[in-house]
Amino acid sequence: MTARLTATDLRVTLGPNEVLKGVSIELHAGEVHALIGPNGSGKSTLMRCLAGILRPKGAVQLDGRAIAHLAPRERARVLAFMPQRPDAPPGLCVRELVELGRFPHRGRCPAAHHDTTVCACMERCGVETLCERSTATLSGGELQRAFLAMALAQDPSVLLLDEPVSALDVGHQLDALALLRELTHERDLAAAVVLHDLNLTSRFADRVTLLHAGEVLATGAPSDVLTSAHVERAFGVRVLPPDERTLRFQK
Amino acid sequence: MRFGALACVLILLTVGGIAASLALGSVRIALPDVLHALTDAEPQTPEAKARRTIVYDLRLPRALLAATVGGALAVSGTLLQGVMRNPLAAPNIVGLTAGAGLAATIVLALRHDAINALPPCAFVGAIGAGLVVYALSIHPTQGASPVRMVLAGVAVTAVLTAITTLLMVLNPTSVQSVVLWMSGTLNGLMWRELWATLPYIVVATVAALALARPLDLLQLGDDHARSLGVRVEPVRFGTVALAAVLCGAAVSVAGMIGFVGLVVPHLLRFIVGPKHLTLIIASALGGAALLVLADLAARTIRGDQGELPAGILTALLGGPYFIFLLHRARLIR
Repeated sequence: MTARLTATDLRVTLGPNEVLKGVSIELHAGEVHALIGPNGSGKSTLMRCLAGILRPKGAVQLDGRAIAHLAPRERARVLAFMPQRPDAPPGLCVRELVELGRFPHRGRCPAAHHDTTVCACMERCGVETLCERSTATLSGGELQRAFLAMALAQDPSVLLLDEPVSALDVGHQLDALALLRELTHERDLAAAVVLHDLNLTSRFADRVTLLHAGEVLATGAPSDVLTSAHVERAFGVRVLPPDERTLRFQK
Repeated sequence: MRFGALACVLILLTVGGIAASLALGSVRIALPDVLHALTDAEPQTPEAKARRTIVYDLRLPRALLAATVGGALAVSGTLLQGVMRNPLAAPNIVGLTAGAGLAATIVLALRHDAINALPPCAFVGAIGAGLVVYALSIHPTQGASPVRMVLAGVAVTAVLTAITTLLMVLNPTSVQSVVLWMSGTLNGLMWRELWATLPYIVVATVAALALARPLDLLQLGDDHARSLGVRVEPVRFGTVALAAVLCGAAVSVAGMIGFVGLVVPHLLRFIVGPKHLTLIIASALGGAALLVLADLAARTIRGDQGELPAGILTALLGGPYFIFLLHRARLIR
């Protein structure tokens, strides 16, 4: 399995707090890698380091090259990042929003190619019928799919999504993560996604990293990481066996 | 299509306004005579010579300057609203015109007959204020942020305006010249002023077009824009610098013409949308049309009793619009 993005011994200090204390992680092609952990455990900071937005101590390598040495547009042609609660610029329609994802490729291919890519990405994410709608009129689920189409328009091989489903209802969460999983396998993407729902994590992730207080508590297959001992230690809760009151969902 | 139609309307308004500016005024000249005065470089009769002087030497450079200054202020406002991600950003709100005003006041306080030194000093004052606002908005680890920029701009405006007022109180002899300059007028401007400012404005506007796409991406937020390959800090600095150059060039010859930079980008954003490439072009055309028409009105509205400063008219138009904006913002919230 090829590691597309490798981070080694990342350390970040924000003000008086050491937010990451020597975190290492590998993202592999064709895998959905879930980052989980309690609030303040360093998930979003780690995502920003992996995206090349924060410059931590330690090394982040994208396809074997130090990410800090890549030109911003060169990096953006390989790696797409969707922040927590992305801002939709007021007044833009969905097509214009998705077109912004082509910025790193502008000047490198003909305009017709940009149009074809934008249409294909909107179609793949199911927003082609909304293409002339203002982003202000979209529901949370539609907006999230539009942003995913924008990230895909970058034509990346690494996709980083920070809490993409936190604001969605359970149906849209299942839809969004199923789509992410399909895209990851079909395009051989290395995807990292920050999740809070442990059930969704076990269902959709190929690999999981559990962060706790800026350190990796466990990493590996979901069944190895999502154990009672790890969850109880990281989140400070007791894990109870499922009973008749537990709701399970499927689409 | 919508943009094309709008551009045609704005160009027609500007050209029509310039044509009307050449014909109307204390001396009315028929349009055929205006055309004749423009094309005949060496008139023979005294009447034709007088018409040539009025049309070609006085009214034409003034009308062209109104178009240039209006366009520059509107593009400056578009850039500031884009980079600060704030609909209320404008050259006169975030300190640029206040910088020009203070520089002009210092010059007039030192020598109250130093009218010729006003344009370059006001130009430097606007750019200096832009740099100060940018420097104050930089956080040691996070760079400049849009919110800090707006707040720094408002604070800089307050301080510069207070110093300007203090200087005027301490130097009452310079007050009249300063007030006249501050009211914003295109009266008495000639070809010399046009050629002095046009290169800055043309170059800065073309450079602004090159920043249009990165500015679109900045609207996504800094992290998202960075992840898409935008060099956020250089784009932000370049945009503020271009806005300061445009505002400085405009204010240096025309004084403090308010609200063009706020009103025009807003009006046009409703029509052409938020993408900066079309918005910058539309703002240049819209600002030109607005100030040409405002100056025409300022020159002719009082008949033979003299003219009003165009800045007063644009502020009278802009003030109610500003209130409308506040009202609209409250409705949205």
